[in-house]
Amino acid sequence: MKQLLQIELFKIFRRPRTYISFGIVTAITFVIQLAMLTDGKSYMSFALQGVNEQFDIHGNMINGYFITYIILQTLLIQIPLLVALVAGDTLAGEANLGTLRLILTKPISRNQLVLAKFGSSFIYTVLLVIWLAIVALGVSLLLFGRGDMVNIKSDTFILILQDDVLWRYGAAFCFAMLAMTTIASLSILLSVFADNSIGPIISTMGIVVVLTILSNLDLPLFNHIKPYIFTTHMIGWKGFFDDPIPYRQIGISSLVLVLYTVAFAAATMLIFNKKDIKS
Amino acid sequence: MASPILEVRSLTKSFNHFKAVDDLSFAINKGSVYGFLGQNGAGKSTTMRMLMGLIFPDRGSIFINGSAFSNSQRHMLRNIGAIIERPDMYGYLSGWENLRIFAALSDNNIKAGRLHEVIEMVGLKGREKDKVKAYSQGMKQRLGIAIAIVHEPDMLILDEPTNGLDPQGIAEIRNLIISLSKDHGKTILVSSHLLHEVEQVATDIIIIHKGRKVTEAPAGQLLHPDDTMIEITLKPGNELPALIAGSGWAQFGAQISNNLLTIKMNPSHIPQLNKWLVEHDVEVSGITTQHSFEAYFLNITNETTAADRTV
Amino acid sequence: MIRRSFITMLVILSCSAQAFAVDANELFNTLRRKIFTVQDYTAVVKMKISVKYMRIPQLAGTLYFKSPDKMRLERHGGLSVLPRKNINLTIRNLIPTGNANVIDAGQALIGGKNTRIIKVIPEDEKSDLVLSKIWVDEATLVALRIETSTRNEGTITMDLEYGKYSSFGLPDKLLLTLDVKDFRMPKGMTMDYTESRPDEALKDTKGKKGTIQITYLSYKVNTGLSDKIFTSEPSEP
Repeated sequence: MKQLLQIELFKIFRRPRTYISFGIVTAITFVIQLAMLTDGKSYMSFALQGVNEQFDIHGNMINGYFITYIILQTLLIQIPLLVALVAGDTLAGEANLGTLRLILTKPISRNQLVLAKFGSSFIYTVLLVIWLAIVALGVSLLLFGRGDMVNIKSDTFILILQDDVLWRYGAAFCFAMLAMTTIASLSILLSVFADNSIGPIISTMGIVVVLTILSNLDLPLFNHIKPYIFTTHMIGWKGFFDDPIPYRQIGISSLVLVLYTVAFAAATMLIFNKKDIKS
Repeated sequence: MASPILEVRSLTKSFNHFKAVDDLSFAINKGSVYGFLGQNGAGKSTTMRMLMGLIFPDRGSIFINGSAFSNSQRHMLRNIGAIIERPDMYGYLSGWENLRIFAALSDNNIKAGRLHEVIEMVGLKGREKDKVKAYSQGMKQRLGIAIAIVHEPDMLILDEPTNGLDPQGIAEIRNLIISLSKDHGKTILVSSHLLHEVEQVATDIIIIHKGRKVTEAPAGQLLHPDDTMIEITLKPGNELPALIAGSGWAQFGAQISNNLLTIKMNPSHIPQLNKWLVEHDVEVSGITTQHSFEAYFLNITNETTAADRTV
Repeated sequence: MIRRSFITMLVILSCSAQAFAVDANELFNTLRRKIFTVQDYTAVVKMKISVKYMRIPQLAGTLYFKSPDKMRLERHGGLSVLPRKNINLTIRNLIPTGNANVIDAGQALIGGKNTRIIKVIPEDEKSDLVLSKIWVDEATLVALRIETSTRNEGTITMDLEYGKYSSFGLPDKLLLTLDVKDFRMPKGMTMDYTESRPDEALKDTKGKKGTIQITYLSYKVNTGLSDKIFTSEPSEP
């Protein structure tokens, strides 16, 4: 199994496509950082319109911690695409290349192969999120400095003391890893059905976009199903920047994401074990 | 008696309503080279995919060294090396890296020395560090064979290994198969729709058509020299049909149609026939020998097709 | 023993009566003079802001004040959050600076202390202050509570507790209660994860009241603070 995982990682990290994701994360991050560097104050004044009527807030509000939050919020849509770019390719890409045929003439079980694909996609996802943490948090702190963090919810202004922020990002990035693992898991499941990787990548994105819209629509019809949609729980990382931190809700979200991940993985194994390899 | 290295019993597989393989049974004994013949779409690849666990049969069983093979018994494939259809590999990796990856999938303990050995055996020495996307089709085939044999399996399953190759490439692969059989003692199941290729390497032949086995026999029995079909192009001569009919050549089933004399006999008789024609003032403009097997094959498959039509 | 107690009571009563006799106008002017003796101060503070739409932990820092209305909270790189200028955190901003009509409004107990209530109405009609009601501890000449109605900011109440800086009229503890408006951003923009829960500290306050509680740990008074201290960091627009 270890050997299989090593092989999968070797394949992922020898492919130029893999590094495109890291490049895109870097580029988007820099663009947001640049935008905030030039236009951060007007963004902040817009966001704080209501607060500023009654309170004077002085100091470095547009600091590294705040910018990182903005970056994370913006990347909510992009990162799943980047995860799908690799995870959606795991089985479908091999089917397209014809290598799946060759792999499955070898004495390894299909379950082992799926698990290795999951393992390697998970490691890729974790590394992508760590990279995001480095360029978003690390570079933003270098460019914009530290400071108390302002978090603006639709009806609440939250201030988090600067010495109380870093651990929250640690927890938030861990949560993001879990959320993105769910996406990876979905991508791999969709990857079983396809013989080229475009299908699963686009399908993953389609599902994420549609479900994210459903999760955010404030309609009574959808309010009942929202708790069961995984995209509702993908923004659970934000909970760590709330006051008080909704640990119970974060726990529920984590559980939902874990259940979805396991369900997707189980479905992948079930289907892949019955699939005729005709490619 | 030792059990066959590979045996299939009543293998059946349909795709939608199309029966790709229909009640196919055969057994392959150790040390032989089985030619698996059939036209394109006859069910060869489907059969081979089932043998390697890529496709699951609707019915029937596969036995490897006497033990039943199924998806949960994939470890049994340790003793088989295979190329199914094209040997597709990771183009962005070198030949060496591809070989290393697939070797590790077969056996964790294969050493670099063995990789060098097979690279040399398939004639890729010096090119192993090149990216596979820069390889010719022939090089890919040879790398495919290297991948199939690197873990030293007893048996090889090669699906149309000469497909898409130029004549030189075909000859190289053919020689490699012969060497693997003779020098390395591998049991080989090789499929092809090109009959003359199989006849040069196979010890036994299975012919399938429309998913069903048509015949199975030692190559020597199917390919007897007396069954060679000889075609002789003649200059027009009105007397010739009668002449032939009255001669001893009639016993070989000689027939004339449109100045083409066809006769089934051992090619060693050709000089004698030629001499006889010259003696009877019949000018010969060309002689071709069509292997009897080819004719035999076409005959069988046509018969099966005709039978299908009448049903 | 009984005789001694009786004498003590008599003394207290006579003092109260004497105090009560002080004219409300004079009391206000004396109090104002005392308050206005503080030109600037630097105080080490702990501040807790409890506003319906704000979740801010206790902020520790140095509070700079310079009369008439400059104020800044320095938090060593942290953010400074203060009410806007006209709801400043000093008494002097809640009492009229110019001529005013002062009315005696009786007495009341504040935190167990007897206080005199005076109502102050500025003569200046343009003043944002409409009415200030001040609960004055005449014994120490400090305001224990001020309730000020403003034109633009609703009613602001300030409760004060004094310690060793009472001679300057500077409190050790201050609780400001003020009206707050609603804060709302489009949900599509903020993409909230959970609904917000109201601050526990506000569960008893009715309507849209917010509180700011400041504990002053130490003061440095009238050190001649430079204006630069208040302009070193430009405020957000």
